Amino acid sequence: MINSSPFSLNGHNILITGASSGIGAAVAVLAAKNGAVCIINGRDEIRLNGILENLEGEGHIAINMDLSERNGKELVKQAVAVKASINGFVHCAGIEKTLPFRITEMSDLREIMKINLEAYWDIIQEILRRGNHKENLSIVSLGSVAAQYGAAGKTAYSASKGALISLTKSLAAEYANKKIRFNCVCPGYVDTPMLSNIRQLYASESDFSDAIIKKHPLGLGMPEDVAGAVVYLLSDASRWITGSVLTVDGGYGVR
Amino acid sequence: MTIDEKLNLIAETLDADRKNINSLTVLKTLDEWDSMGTISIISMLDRKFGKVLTADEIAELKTVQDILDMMCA
Repeated sequence: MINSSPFSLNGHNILITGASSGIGAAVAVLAAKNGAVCIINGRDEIRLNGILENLEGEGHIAINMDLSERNGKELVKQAVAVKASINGFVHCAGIEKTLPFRITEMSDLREIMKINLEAYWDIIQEILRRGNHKENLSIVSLGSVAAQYGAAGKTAYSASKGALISLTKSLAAEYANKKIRFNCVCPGYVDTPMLSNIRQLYASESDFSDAIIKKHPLGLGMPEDVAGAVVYLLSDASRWITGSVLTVDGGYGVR
Repeated sequence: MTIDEKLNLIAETLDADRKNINSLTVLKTLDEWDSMGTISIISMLDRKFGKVLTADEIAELKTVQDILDMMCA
């Protein structure tokens, strides 16, 4: 039944970075459930293989690679060597640092940019090469409410995510004539390993709740809450959507 | 690093007036000891002293002396 639905990803080869945990892992699970063949990438080989084993369907592959080495193009080459071409790409790999601006060093900014922006740049440039992608390619990046509304202590992170939003819009304009779509999903705070790192910075659960959880009228999100939006943007159901920023934040923006 | 150098570093990290920083200073009395100040101290201890604080250790930081005790490298 699902295979005839415009929401289906049946037969689509989807490359997903940051797929060994959090939102990336949830995207892989849901995309596979909707018929996609997933090419999952992550730094942690054991966790990545654990996700791979739990994907529905057949033909999924895992490529263990640390994207901080400017090897995004190599990732695509390996993916294409096995799967011929790509229908969709989701950049979930990302790093976050909570640091006041006055002690955020240029090296912190560069470390964040390498993964959050430069890896995305390298990967899509290679995917866009003739022969590496199929028609109706859909590319989804992960922004953040930190980029939309600002967040104290997250200047470098929000700058990287803001750059992704701007890049998404310009790429959408540049590639619309080829029917290649670029969209950005901006999640609120989601219960992931990244959030666990932030939680440790607060002296008590109460402080954390006041600073983060209570700012989401629908409560803290789960990775699956974001995965649904991503899979929608990968599917043909969203074929008239490009250059958009889809906020998935449990009401964070209306607080 | 001498005690005075450590106190200078704490003041600089908190962006606080050095005159207000001594080992007996109660952190809560400093305007700069807000969430950003706390995160700054946590980051400084990690980067300069390789000390990663647990949530319990963060909660136990009451005076400047408590921070000095963590600055052992």
